[in-house]
Amino acid sequence: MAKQLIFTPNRCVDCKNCEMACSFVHTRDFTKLAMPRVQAFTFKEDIKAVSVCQQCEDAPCQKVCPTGALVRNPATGAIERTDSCILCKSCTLACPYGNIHFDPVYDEIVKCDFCGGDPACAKVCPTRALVWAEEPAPDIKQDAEIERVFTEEEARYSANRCLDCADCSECGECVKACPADAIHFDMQPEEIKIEANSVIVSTGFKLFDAHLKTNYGYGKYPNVVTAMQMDRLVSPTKPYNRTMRPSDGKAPDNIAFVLCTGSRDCTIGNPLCSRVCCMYSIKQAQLLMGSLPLADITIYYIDIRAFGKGYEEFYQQAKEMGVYFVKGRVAKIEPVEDGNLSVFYEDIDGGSGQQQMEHDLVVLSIGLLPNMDALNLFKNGDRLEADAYSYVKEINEDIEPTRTSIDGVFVAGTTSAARDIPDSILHAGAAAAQAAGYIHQLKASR
Amino acid sequence: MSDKRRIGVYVCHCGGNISDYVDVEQVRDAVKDDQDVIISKNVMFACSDATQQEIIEDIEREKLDGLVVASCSPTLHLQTFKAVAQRANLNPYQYTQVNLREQCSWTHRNNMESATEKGIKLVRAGIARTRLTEPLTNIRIETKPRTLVIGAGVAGLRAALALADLGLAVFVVEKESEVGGWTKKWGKMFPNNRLGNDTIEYLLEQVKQRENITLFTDAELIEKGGNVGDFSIKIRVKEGETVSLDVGAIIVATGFDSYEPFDGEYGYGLNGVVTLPQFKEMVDKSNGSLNFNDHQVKNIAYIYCVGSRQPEDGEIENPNLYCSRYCCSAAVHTASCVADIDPNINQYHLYRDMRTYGKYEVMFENAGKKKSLFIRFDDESSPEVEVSNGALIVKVNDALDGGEEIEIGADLIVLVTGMVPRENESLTNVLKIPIGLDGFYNEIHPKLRPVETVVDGVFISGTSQGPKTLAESVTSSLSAVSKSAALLMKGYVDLEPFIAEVDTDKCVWCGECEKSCPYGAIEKVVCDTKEVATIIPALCKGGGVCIPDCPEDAIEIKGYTDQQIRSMIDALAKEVA
Amino acid sequence: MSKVNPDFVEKISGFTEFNAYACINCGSCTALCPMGIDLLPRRMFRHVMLGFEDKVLENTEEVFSCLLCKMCEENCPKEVPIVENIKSIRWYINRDIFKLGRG
Repeated sequence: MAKQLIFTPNRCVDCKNCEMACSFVHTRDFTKLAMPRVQAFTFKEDIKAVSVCQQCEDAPCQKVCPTGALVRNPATGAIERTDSCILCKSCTLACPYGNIHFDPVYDEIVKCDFCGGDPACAKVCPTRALVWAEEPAPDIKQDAEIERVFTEEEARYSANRCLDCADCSECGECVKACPADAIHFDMQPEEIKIEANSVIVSTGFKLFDAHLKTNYGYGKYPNVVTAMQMDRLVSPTKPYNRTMRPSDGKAPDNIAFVLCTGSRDCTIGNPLCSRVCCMYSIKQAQLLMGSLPLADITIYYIDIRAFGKGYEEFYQQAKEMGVYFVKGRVAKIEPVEDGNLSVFYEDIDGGSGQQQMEHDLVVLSIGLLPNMDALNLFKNGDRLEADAYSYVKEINEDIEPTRTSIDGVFVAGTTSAARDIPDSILHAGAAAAQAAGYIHQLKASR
Repeated sequence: MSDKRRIGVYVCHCGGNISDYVDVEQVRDAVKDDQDVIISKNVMFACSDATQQEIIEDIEREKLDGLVVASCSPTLHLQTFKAVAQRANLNPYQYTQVNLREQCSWTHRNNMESATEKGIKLVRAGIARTRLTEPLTNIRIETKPRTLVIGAGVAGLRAALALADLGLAVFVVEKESEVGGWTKKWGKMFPNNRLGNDTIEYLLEQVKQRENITLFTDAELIEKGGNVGDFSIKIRVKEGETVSLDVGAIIVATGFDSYEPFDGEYGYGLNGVVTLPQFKEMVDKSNGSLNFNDHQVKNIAYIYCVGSRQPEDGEIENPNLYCSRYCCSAAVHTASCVADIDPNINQYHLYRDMRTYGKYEVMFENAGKKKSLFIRFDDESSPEVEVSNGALIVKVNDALDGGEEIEIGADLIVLVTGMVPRENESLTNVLKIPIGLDGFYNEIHPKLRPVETVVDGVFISGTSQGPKTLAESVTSSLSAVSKSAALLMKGYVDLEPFIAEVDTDKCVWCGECEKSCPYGAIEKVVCDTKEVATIIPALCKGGGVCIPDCPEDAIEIKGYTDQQIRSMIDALAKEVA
Repeated sequence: MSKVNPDFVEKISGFTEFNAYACINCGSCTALCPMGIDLLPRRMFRHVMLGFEDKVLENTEEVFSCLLCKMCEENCPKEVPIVENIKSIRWYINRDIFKLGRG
């Protein structure tokens, strides 16, 4: 007998690992929006079930297919969708079990293909409820000796953590619940035409992608986070109402900030200083001092650029609160035990050369990059002139700040350079004055 | 006022911000049967559009004549709900905001029972005040379409141009006999290398072309009366001569002073020790080679942060704690100019943190590429300047080399001096605008209202507010233009009606109130053969200092009457049943 | 006490021009050096640029310990040609101190 996918209902704990594995194998994405070919669900309150294509001998889907696009693979026995599919969806209606779907995200018909002979769903099933075998696994009461990936308790815990966040069934309950009537299911994109004498471009900046600084292991080590993520972890509405690190939820007690991540660095192509990172890092350090009074906080820097009104005083205050400031850029980050990290730097102030320091959470103070989309906002061949760093150029910065290469178009905020909030607000005020002046003159000349 | 009132009370959850710590349903129920309360409701977000609409419908349907919203701080949403009242044809001054969030839920997170009790009392106080409210109307003042700009440096001149181009008349007052301030004195300015003098010449030329700009030099503002939209000012133009004007707004652009080192500070006073502005002048004027004392300069040492980032507990009295922002960039830019004049000059920069922020980083990089060397000293060990065998030397512990003590022989030592606030006491007293801890004029909020001051209609710009670069000064002056133009082009300004009111029956005219008023808003009139005090509405600020000075208890502030305040205290003091 | 000597760097620059002027003293190079030598390369370069000849000569062993692996150079945020600079220092030491020479 050939191998098949065999499901034993009383082993299933509805952990949905099978769905996730299926989604990942077929789309490289853990989203349930990408219609898995295998579906775990609970019916009649406590009966667990996994629904997957039976690969029927005399398959209704195959029969109704007008183009013969569903073909059985002799090697695995699975019926597979081939390229001649015209997306008529007849097969989805024909299947008596509802195991063949139209996927609106990837715009294709999806069904189980046994992963080419090694189904991922069966591999990840922690309780062996789903097996790739010739016969069902022995009943759960009889196989105490089988070593499980999870205990039943752990599996249930994992399953319950799932928020099913991508799984909207369009039931409309949220529409009813929202007191502000803010949810609409029938909204469509629309184009609005506005005639204006002047345009202010305030499209902001792009954040540096921390993955690009490979020495720092962002995306590889869970306890290396960006300052953007840290802002969430220290905000008044932080998750779980306490500051924790990603890997294990432990309250960190030795946190490092790595300044100039993606700034002042030709190796990633940005020679400029981002202006805001020193100060937001010091702000976060002060907030952390409040939420984790016993934690050590170290800021690794090249120069502390506390140049704005009240900033130097804020920096000195952080020092007095006990934040450690270490002169020396972090050169690389490596993992050590327990999810902790070792940062490598030169102890410049102490003069003792190469140093390593262990931290349990590392925050990358990522910098600002130009939003180059701004350059091509105007359709009729008018491209906004860029400066040497791809920011929108202010053509006469000294006397006519915010003016661009296109007459009547002005920039505000970080569209033309990295700026902090006070400077962005001032810049926006200047853009408003420029635009108003431009319109006034335009009307006067008519 | 024994009339029956019809009051609506809305107790907000604030999506948990309040309801997690205060039992908002209990608060609602506690007041629902109170006197004159017609509606008492809970709402999830009072400020949401849907709830605002609901309140408007309630007011119209139930013919409410008083509104209480118990939500967040009035700073956030007082105007929101006043507008709600207005949209429902309820007088906005019959609305009371109760602060149930900042003053209750957020401050009492650990005791829901007590927080709820306090919440009930706060809401009752709000209801008590509302029961005694009367409809009031704003005082509308027509604005004068003219602006006074104080200071004719780069910020003041640029502001004048922008205002004139919006069709507003401008008066520019300059203390010196020449316009241009610091910018006029300088040659190449960073980062665009335009000559400072060229910038000023250009702006002045533009100013001259505009008929609606009047420029006074050798002039000073000596008096300011009136209020936002309608200031009456007096300018002294020459000794003994004054000009009186009415303007709607005032922009302050008085600039900065350069820090003057004290005698002996880093050798200041020794031949060859100069400040950055003095050095900049030498560089600007140099022709082919840089000379000092008739000798070609070979070695220059820069000492940074002179007069800035001074230690709080050091020997200096009233230290400047702040960073002067522009000096690092100005110094590396000047060093680049020096290298362009003579690439063989050795330049040593003794710095603390190199604050060439943003794109100015490139100027730092360029100075390095032109062989400027950078030596860092830390807060505890400042460089020392000495004379040895008639030559200047600087000793410094290089924090970039394990604190190694090094010695630099220099023909010139440049003290990279920062910006300090202009000494402007008489002007500050005339304008009555506040000064911050750093001595510069203070904005209301650095992010939200960076050019506004606590005096409505008086705006600050350029380096009068804090150290800035050229482009930043101009940017801030244009920002002040936005604010003043928005004010003046509307044509009128509404002032809140919370001003004093005299009960002529009680008043016996003793004159105490007139003496106490700092705004000159009280005068004597004859009313039915009796001498009484009267209030000039446009001048009264509602400060209330006259009230305790009145022996007859004849003055009240509209909207905050004694009776209202007493009723609120009673409500707060009364036990919750 | 070391006195700065701007002429020293000229001596080093005989092979190729010694150039570490773009250095912003971040310390990445020293932090990454597989040899883990305190002075290499950042502080050694400072000694050259500031003209501390004795300090360079006291530490010739360090200069020759460099593996020329370019780990530092690859990660230098200011693209300083670190390996070429090390070679220049070696060239100077070999010629002027050890009197080795190519003819």
